[in-house]
Amino acid sequence: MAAKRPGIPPLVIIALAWIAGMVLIALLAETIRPYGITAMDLRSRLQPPIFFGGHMNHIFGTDELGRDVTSRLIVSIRISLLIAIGATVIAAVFGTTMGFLAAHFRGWVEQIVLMLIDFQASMPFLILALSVLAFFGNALGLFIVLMGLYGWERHARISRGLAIAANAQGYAAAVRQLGARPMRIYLGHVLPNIASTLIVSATLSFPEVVLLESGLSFLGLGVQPPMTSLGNMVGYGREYLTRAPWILLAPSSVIVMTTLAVSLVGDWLRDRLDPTLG
Amino acid sequence: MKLTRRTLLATTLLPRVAIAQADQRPSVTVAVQKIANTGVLEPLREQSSNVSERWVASILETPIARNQQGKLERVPGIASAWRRISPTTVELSLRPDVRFHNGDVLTAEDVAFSYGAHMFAANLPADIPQIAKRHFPALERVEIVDARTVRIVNKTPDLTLEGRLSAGGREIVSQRSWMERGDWAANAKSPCGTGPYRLNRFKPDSELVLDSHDMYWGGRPKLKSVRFVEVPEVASRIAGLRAGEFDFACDIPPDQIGEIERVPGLKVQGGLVTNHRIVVFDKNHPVLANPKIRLAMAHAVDCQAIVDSLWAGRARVPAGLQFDFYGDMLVKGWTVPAYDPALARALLREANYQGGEIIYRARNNYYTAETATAQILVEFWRAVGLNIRLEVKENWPQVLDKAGPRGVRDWSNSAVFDDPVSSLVNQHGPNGAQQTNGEWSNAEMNTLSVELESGTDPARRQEVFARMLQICEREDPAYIVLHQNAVFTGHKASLPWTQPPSFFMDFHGAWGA
Amino acid sequence: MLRYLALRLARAAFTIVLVVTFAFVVLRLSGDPALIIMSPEAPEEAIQAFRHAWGLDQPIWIQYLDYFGAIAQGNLGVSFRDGRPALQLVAERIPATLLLTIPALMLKICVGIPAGIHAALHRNSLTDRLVMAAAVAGFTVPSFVLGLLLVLLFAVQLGWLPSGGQESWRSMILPVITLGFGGAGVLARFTRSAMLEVLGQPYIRTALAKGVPWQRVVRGHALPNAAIPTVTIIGFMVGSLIAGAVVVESVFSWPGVGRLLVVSVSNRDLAVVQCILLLVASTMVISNLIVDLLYGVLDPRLRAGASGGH
Repeated sequence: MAAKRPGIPPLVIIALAWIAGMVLIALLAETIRPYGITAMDLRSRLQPPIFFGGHMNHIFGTDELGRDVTSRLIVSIRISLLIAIGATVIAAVFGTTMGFLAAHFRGWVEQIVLMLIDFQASMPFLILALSVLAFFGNALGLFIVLMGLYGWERHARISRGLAIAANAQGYAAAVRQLGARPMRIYLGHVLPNIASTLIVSATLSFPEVVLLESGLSFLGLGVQPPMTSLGNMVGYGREYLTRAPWILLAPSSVIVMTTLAVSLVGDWLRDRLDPTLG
Repeated sequence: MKLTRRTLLATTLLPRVAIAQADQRPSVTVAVQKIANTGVLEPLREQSSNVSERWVASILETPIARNQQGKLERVPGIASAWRRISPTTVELSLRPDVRFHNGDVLTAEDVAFSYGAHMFAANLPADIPQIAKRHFPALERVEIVDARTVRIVNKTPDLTLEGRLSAGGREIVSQRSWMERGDWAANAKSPCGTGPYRLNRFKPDSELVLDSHDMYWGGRPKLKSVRFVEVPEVASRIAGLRAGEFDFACDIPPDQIGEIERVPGLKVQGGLVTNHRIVVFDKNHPVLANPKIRLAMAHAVDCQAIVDSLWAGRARVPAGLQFDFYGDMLVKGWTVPAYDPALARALLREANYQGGEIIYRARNNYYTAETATAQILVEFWRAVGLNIRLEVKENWPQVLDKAGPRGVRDWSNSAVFDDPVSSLVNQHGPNGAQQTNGEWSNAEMNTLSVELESGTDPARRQEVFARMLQICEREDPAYIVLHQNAVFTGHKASLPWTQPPSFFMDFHGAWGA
Repeated sequence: MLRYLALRLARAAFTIVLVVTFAFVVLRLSGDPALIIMSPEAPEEAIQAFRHAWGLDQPIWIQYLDYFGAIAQGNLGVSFRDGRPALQLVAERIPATLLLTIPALMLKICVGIPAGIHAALHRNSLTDRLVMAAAVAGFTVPSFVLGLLLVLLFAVQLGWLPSGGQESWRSMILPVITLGFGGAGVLARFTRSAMLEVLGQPYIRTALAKGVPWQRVVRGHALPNAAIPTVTIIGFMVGSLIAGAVVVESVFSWPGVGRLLVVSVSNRDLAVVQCILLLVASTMVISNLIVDLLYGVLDPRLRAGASGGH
């Protein structure tokens, strides 16, 4: 095993910079976008990006309604980041809590949690998404909660399994014998030890949420117009994959790059957090 | 009904297929977005939507046909001639040589059955007679004069009977085939008609394969078989066409025409169809109750810009809710409200519009370019100061849902036959969906609808129609006409096929020079 | 053990009932099958007649009781659109879907897991970076984009493979790759992470210090402990064998259960949707049951009824 290297590897620095950039874009979205997301110009539809025959005023070209792709991309980053972070946090917190509850109490609490896990896993997400859209319309907050429901069962199962295993390990029993309350044991001891797997799980959540979003857009159930998001741009842009690929490629590239960055940072964080490595 | 004697006649006359000659005719594969909405092949259930219109006339025929190689004017079909006996009665003379797919000869009994038990029997699924009643609102009886002559008798005078007899839902089916099979669901999936192609197999939501009906009265069909495959994704249909797997790809959006045509060996044909895209109002909405506001919304929309941008100029803004083939019934000089944002703003001021929110419900590309059109409309309306909120809904019940404020919604209007009764009255009259949904109503319009349906003086009917347009599009707007729809089909350039002015994929008359 | 199984089966039954009930309520309240199937231009009387014929005008709790009563007698309902029993419709489509999802699962496991292990054993090397980059590429590209790109390349440009449909064995290739690619990436990352965690444990170092051969350490200690989270993920993947290919089936016009689910949900063809859900829920609970039993094999502490919690 390699000795732990001091400092931050250059690749991770780039990744951090990218993530910081995305967050900055998300925060400043309304200020830096050149056009409104619904500002359409029906005479300049499907303009290519700047180095492919396009104009300076539309760096990434325009879409099928003549709207500026750059502006829509910027606002989409904000919306998708909001959704992904919110959903990941909800899924991780909710899932891990449920997993811990199941591991701690066993008995019928565990049975109920496991039943909810199975329910979540068996219910095609299509139906859940459809119900939110039908009963609550296109509200962003509810959409985030809906996305948060996706994947919590994975967090719950993993944290339950690992918490049970950790409970049986020496340190947990020792700390318990010293009189520590369960909450302290879980938060202070169990959580850090299973943190690495949870971090990986969380870093997977970001792209999964965005992908889920595009899958839902494909089925017509995702973020609805006039709101825009990365998944929404990819979903509606697929029809123009050959005619005007920039509509789909711009958001797709952002998704891939951001996920790569999040994964790299996540791996690095995991390495740092894991006291046993090195 | 002497079934046994007819059966005997039919089987003895059935030609033994000469295997000596190899069948050199081509077969084609057609990629469509959807084969059948309801999962069956029965027009009374499927109701001649743009989906089923692709193949119905290949299998089942109406007594009076429409010229798919012309302007859809009425021409002889399996009825070689028709005569108007009285304001309530039309007499049809059937051709002597028409064979069903099971070999039976068409007789007046089949016509009587098709408009009788096939539509109104007690043991049919409950919705069928209701739909049939919409097709023939006042049918009294079908009289068999002799084996080749039949009279359609209406209870009330009806100048549109000929039109009805040429429209979807009024196809003739084989009585023997229906009675023998017995079960409606089984029959609905195995239609036995007189069309140039017969059913080989049908896998709902997957494929529909038709074989040539060699004894077709109109001459031996030019193709050996036609296979419709359901390919829901546009990109997949185009990819399959480019890869050579499909001979035809239907439902091509206008933006993709260039993509197909720049591939050597492929071309796109397209044209207008008898279908208009509209948005309809709910005048119970507190803001929309004032007709000036609705008229303002009509003046705020630049329909030509929508046609030029989303439809590459290949659709068209019609003269109000009218269709060219109305012929003499056309109200000449009538137009949609002109694009005039200043006038729209003035109307809003007159109506004292205070900024109340209007909900606009649309679906996610149920109609071609629906989502794009909806977003464009929202911008036009916002530009004149209206507060519009777009809500994209998943299905029709959610669009029509009375719970929650209804404002404007998307729709389309087809002319089933060449008279305003089939479009304006059908959808916006007293029994039309817009009124039965509780969205709009107008007392004068309703009285005029009744007069239009049963009137006999053509000049008076045209006057009535003009007045109805005035009401529905200016005085108490029920809808805004956006544009006439066009349909585009991509296909291998080498295939000798011409697109008819409808959704019908005609593989008989339209095939060959 | 028997008690454990009985408990699991009871829980499984409850889950399935919960799934079907949820869908039942949601689908009925968010759309009227009669209006959707009949089309909005249909006469009001026809829509009412259709509703009445199918019992859709009854109060929802009566429909619910009728439905479960019918299930108790083995009748899973009839499709509104087709007229045939829902079970028959679904059963027809299952082989087509399995033809995609099972090979895809094999692909995910056979490519993903070895890649993850290899990456873990050569942490921070070029191989590790490449594998992880490929994994990320795999699961960040939406399946319909990947599918369409593959079709454009292999069907349109090269003409080697069909663009869709279910004609021959060659029609399977592109959909299976599309389905499997993303999952392989997910498995690779999970496996790598689980392996790394285990490899850092003290007992691994102890074993190595004691002179146990590297391969034995990996096989005997690292893999079984890393297996737990990995097996969990695979369990979920197995559970989605039936309805997990919705998007891919749409892109490739593959006549499977996923397509049927989408069409039936949008048409509110309730019997068919509920039949599919029953199947999916059953598959998922069985798969999770097997995973739980495997937990017991892999780590005795997790075994059924083991205390150790309090």
